[in-house]
Amino acid sequence: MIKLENLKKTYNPGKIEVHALDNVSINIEEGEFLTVHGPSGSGKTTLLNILGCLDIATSGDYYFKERDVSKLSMSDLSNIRRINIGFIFQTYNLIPVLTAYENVELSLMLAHSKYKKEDILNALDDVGIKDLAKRFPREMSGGQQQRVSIARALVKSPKLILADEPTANLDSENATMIMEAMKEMNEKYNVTFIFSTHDPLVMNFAKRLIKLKDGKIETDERK
Amino acid sequence: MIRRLFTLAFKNIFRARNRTMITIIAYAFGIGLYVFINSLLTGFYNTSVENIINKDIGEIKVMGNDYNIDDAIPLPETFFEYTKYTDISEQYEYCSPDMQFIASIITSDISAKTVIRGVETDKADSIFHYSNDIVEGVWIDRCNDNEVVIGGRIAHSLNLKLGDMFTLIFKNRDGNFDAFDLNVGGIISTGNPNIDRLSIFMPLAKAQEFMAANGLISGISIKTKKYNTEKIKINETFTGVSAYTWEDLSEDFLNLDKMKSGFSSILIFMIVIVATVGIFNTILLGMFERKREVGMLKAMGMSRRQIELLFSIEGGIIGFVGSVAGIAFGFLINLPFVIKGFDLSVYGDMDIGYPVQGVVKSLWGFEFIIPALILGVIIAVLASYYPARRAARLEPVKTLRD
Repeated sequence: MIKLENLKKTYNPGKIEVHALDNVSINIEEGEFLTVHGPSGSGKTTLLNILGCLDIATSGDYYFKERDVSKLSMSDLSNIRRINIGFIFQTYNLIPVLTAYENVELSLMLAHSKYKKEDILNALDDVGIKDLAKRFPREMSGGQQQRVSIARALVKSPKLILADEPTANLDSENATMIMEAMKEMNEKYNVTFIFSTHDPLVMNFAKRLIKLKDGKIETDERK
Repeated sequence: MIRRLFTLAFKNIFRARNRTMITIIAYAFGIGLYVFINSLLTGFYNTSVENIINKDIGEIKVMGNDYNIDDAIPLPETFFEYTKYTDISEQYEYCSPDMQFIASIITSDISAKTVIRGVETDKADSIFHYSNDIVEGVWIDRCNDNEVVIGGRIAHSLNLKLGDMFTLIFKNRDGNFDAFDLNVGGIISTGNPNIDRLSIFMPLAKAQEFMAANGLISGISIKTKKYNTEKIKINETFTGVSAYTWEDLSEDFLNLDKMKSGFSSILIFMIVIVATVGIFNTILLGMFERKREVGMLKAMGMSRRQIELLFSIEGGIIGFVGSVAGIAFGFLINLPFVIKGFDLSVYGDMDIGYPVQGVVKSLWGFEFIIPALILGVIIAVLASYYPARRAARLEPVKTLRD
């Protein structure tokens, strides 16, 4: 589903160049559950940004569902994100003035013009918070908010979900529950999950571990 | 999607409730003044026009051909024979010939300039309803031979009471000075300063006799709705006279009204600009505070256009709420001026440029509701344009990392 070929990302080109990614080549199949880990500054976030079509590579090719997206405009990348990619962040990034239901609905609304109320409730039910649908983010715990953000990412039935340190702000009990929920969704809907993480717990759940160092793939292990 | 953007925008603007409320209040103040000042000026304008048409000129005034439009009062040389133009009187139901000339009024210790208005008592009354404006004494149809009706303000300034005697001095049509002793038979208060501050009414025949101008008149006032076409018709039909509309003869007042409206528009514009800066500031601060959120919305696939729209809607809502509140505020401050009016008597005989005096009532100004709403919303949306554009250009990669 994803194919990266000799991907490079250089900051400050022509000046003091920083190579965030240096000749990265990876193939990721549909339904994978993998982590990208490595020390700070190794290029994890940059890789996730490019995979999530939030950023573009300096050189190299990125094929998403066999389409070369490395040369697309920001507007086209926005369309790809809207329909195919869901994001989960460490800080949840829910819209504070919207309820859990409305946060999930907004994602679905952006992706598809027609939808049913049940689609939203089912997504909330999948992550076990259907009864919190009317609550605002401030009325929920960190774990509950992260579940809303998972539901928000999942509701539009994306091909890929990118999770940037999703457990970093959670205690181990909540982190385990969140990972279990995502594992379940991965198995149930065959959605590809890619995590950027330092958390050994997340790595324990992963089926594939990619380690980055200085912008290069140091190891790529499958369990 | 638009509905959701509206919902989101509405919720967003009340996140910084105090800031939004202050902006709305400032905006409402600007829009309120727009409604109030325009309503008041329209009240002044309408009252002035009523005073001109219903108490002074009529809708058309027929003057001698030699009449110079710059002269407020026609010169005796421009007088013309009424008998030649009786057809005009027959054509129009409401038609009144008059003779106006300038004179000096002298009491025992004060003198003042005055305008003598010789009128046919019944005809003048049928057009201008002067008898209804008599505050003391009687209209000239019931005055004694040596009695006249005097404007209330001039009577007040000369300390003339009913029955008091004064002397009128003027130069007649032959160029000779004449003086007559007259008595106050009635005091009139029309609300038109041209009448109340300057005029003395007497029967047309007496004025003709004073001016040694038997059979002559200075003008014919006509009331007719289609005054523009009737003016053309008169000018085409009759020679020796020229017809003017009330607008032709009130050019100074109309220009002044335009100028005052222009000044008030500038004032209101400046107030609205200040309020607009408030909206700009509110939306811009909102944008800075919600950078991460904007990044998330973009990550979810919201387009630049939709982000722009979201922030513009926020500005538009503030503008709409501010405008509605402003209209209500404008109506509220206008209320006492509609009911009780604006009392100009506190300024004495000061000339404010409008032919009004005493209490002038403001209008409700319903016609300003739609412009105020449209103006309010459009300006607010325009004020939001820059912050909205900046928000739309935020890069999610950077904002999500902040």
